Amino acid sequence: MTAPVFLTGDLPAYRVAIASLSHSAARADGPAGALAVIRGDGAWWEDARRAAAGGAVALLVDEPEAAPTDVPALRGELGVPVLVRRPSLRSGIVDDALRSLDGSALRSVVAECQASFADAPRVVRDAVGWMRVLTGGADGAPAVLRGRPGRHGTTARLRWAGGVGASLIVTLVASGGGLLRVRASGETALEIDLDAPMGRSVLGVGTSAGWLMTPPRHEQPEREALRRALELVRDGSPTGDLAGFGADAATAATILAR
Amino acid sequence: MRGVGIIGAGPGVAALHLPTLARLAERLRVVHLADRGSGRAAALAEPLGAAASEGTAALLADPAVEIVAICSPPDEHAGHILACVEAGVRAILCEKPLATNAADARAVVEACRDAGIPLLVATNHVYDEAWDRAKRYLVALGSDVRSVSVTVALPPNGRYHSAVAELAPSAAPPRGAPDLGDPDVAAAVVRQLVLGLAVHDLPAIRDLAPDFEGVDFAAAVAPLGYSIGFRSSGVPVLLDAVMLPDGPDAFWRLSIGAGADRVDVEFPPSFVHAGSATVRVRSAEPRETTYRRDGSDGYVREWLALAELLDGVTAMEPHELLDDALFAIGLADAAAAAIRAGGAS
Repeated sequence: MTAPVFLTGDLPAYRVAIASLSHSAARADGPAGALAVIRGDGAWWEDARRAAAGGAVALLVDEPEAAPTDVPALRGELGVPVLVRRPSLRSGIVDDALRSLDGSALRSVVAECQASFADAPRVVRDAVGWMRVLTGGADGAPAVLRGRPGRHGTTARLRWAGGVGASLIVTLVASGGGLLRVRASGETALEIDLDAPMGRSVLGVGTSAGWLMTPPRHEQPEREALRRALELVRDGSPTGDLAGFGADAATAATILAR
Repeated sequence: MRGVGIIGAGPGVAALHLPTLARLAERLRVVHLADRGSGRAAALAEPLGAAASEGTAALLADPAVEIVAICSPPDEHAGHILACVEAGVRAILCEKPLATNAADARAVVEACRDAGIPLLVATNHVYDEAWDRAKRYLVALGSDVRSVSVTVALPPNGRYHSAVAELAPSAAPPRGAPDLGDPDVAAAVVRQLVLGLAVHDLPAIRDLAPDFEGVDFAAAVAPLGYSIGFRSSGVPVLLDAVMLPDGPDAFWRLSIGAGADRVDVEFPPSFVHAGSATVRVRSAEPRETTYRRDGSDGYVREWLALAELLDGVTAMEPHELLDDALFAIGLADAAAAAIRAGGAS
């Protein structure tokens, strides 16, 4: 059975995604009864509000740049499930990473970010997202011990309640960047190496038997996000995407504040 | 051929210095080993045809001993260096750390300088050819260092000991995990780990960012490790290490953000002779370059460096030795203080 999908604005990758999910999705003319895909640039939450008010059954925010000041209030106001596609926190890779651990506890998580000043909030936000999901702590804001931000970067130590600690280093560059590497150490280790300019998105899983590089995810990221959203809506499963996004954004802002 | 006496007979000697010196047999020969009465020195000396003794007096009085390698516990290093100077040995290789407090560091460097005795601290990473390569790259780039991180995850050493030596089974019972929830214990553990583990890379970090400013956070990591954020010369530095009961091959990566480039130096496991570290540069173009590895390693090269000091090919730089030691001790003390002040982790 196909589910209606409404695209707010120009979202060509989602047009392609809908076409390649022909048994699951069909383009809708309006938000009523549809999953609405929201462009993440600017004040996307205004489009989200309009779509929810127009009867959307769920929202998928694509690559949000900024976060609204009060995410919990927005969640309550929207009243429908909100999924978030974050290119550096791709749900399929997150699932692969958590599955690879197979219950093995991590002892330490380190994230290294390199980003331009403009891009740092997004990159650090997604680094925090990786740290949050890998450390196994409770949802909510972590305790943050932050370094003194310098001209070219900073460090921070994060700990979510009940989770292991995680550390972060940020390198600020004049242009380019957008690199995120996460090393999670334990009897099973993970390395996530995300380098969009180089077209690299790699998950390595290490044990005493050696390292396994998980296969590339050949599915277009927008298709994966749309497919996941459709499955969650169909199954009525809850999603913590927006809460996680908001918390990660707030933590990133704390880390980067001067 | 120069005679080497070794103070200490633990795994660092059996699995590290003896196999290393065996690779340098044309220049250096182990002639004497000393322990504190465990009998391990005699067991190691016998197949080498070397002398063995208890304590340091006999070793330091042995005329065949020209060079002394100090591989005793860290808090004995300074005393053993001073004893070597007193005995008039020709040169000293001291395992890291040089000393565990600033007064001792000053005393031993001053003593060696005044006596004209070459002293080298065995921080093998900075003697690795790959570090020279990375430094050359950074110099060419104008040394615009913006960040430094060192990430370490180590399985038990036994995995690597068995690759280079046949060690007698340890009679000592395995040590229990420290109670890292106790801030005083955690602080002491992290201080010890900074001086014993992080110290591998601190001279390299000081090369890049010499002026230690302060620790921003420090935490003990279970079962045994640390995470420390600090600043030096305005550069943020993150040190993170964990020693694991099992897991993947040893991982040791020094990563430098320089300009818009990222320079990774990945070191091979300790103890083994697997050649140099690997240098990988991800530059702004974007492009990634992996440089060839050298066949030699930092363990061999540190001994060769000592031989060059002894031969007068190079000269000891006492102020660098001292500044390296003070940098490490200052960081260790500040990290411990941060843990005591802020809780364990």
